[in-house]
Amino acid sequence: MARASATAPSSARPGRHEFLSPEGLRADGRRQAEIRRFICKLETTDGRADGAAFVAQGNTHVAAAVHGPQDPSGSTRKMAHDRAIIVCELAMAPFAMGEWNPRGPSDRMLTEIAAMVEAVFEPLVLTHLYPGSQIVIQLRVAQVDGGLRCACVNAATLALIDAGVAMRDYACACTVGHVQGTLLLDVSAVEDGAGAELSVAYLPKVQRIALTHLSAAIPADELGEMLDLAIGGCKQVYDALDGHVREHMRLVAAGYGGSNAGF
Amino acid sequence: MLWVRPPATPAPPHAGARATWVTPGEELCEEVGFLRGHGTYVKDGMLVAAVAGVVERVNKLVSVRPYNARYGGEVGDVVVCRVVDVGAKRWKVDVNARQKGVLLLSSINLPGGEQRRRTAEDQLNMRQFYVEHDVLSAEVQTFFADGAMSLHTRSLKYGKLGCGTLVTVAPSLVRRAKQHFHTFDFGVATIFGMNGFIWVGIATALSPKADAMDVGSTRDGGIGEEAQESDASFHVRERTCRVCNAIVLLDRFFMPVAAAPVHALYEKSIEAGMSPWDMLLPENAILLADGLRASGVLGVRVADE
Repeated sequence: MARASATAPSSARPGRHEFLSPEGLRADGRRQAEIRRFICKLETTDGRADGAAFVAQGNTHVAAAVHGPQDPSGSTRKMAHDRAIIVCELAMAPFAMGEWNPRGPSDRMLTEIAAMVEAVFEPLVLTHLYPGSQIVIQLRVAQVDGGLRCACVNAATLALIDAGVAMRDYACACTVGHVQGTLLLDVSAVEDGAGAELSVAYLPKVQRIALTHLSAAIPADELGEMLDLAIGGCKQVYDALDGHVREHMRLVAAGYGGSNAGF
Repeated sequence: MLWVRPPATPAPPHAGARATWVTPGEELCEEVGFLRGHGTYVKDGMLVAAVAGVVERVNKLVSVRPYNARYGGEVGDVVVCRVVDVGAKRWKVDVNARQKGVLLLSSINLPGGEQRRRTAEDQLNMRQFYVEHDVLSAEVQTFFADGAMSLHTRSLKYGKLGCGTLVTVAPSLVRRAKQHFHTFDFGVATIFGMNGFIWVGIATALSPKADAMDVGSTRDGGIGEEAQESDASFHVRERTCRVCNAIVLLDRFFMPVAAAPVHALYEKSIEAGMSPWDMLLPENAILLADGLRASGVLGVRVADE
């Protein structure tokens, strides 16, 4: 059994838990290469932010708001004269992880994910079109059930599109879990806790991988297979995101759009 | 559940059918023979969309106009802006664009229409003209090399705004029109700024050009600046609120913001017996919006142009 050396939380019962039944179904009824319920929503004309979006991947819920491109006044960062800089601010509700755990702005996990989101979008956004300005991506995490990085990337993509920021492509992200020798797409927290998790952000039209992040060690020869599975998941995410953007534009064109159109 | 769009008002399937809608990363055409416009970039010899929006072609120029974006600005646009900073020779104003707009001291009218060079004394007196948080109407004069827009108020149409309310909407909802200043027959004056800032104020007895170039006049244009609080009776305020809420409603449903739909909503809300503060209640708002769509006031959709 090729279990990784990740420290599993006590709730996960490693080694005893069946993560894939003989019928090929997982604990929540999904198949191996199936993503969780993916819900997204664009919130144009929020009135305060330039673009806003909400993404729910299973029980991982992230809301994103984009401010900008705007004057970098009041920012702690330096501005660049030939391009826009991208700043990501990530905050998490104290109850998001299941137990009460307030996290300050300097929390290590949050700053790491924020830096990762900046790194994904810095080359993706056509920053040279907005010299001397900044684009602030604010992410708010309401609940976490595995795949937080991916939900953050997906929410940020939608919010940037909603804000009308020029981008080369979507960034679609999905995780693959390596749990007790089996590969599972879009792992939940229970599955993730029992093994290693690979987060992949993929640019579906450019056909490039924008980011990979591995939470624990895995056998090197299985990485290729995991990446293939993850890219398949990212394409499923892309279909969901793109479909929603198109539906939103159709509603907008028909005068049914806007964030509060349905109230 | 927060994210579920109610099925009450499904869009007709043919809406926007004539326009081509694209999303980022979607290939538009070969680069050869076409010019790269806004909202596109070149990848492997292909023109690719960079924003989600509608494709526009002018001869060989291919561009994609996003359905929602910050105000880009064009020379000659009427804008409503708010002063955020008073500098040495310039005011910095918020025009809802990527950078702050600039209003040069030399780009405003001096009181009484006096024509002369601006002196150091004028610089010291800048706060007597406009201070922080003042709302102005202005026109885009030119663009600086860094992309910031320079405004001017050198017409009696433009200037400080008072006795009214600022409503902000998505800039893409305001269309370029012959007339951006509109006075409704019920005594409310509006300025539809191209940048999505809409001014709603009381129409005073003084029309903007009443004392055009009187030397000695302290006026520098604008609407409602001289109006006193006492001019705004309860009924005038109520009408102003009704217009404001009509504009907010148009923004929420992403409908074009212009005089005709605002007027239609105003009338419809009165017919339906709604008070201004009832207009934005969910059920009332949907009722008004559906009525507006059915009335045909909205005319040609932006998407179909």
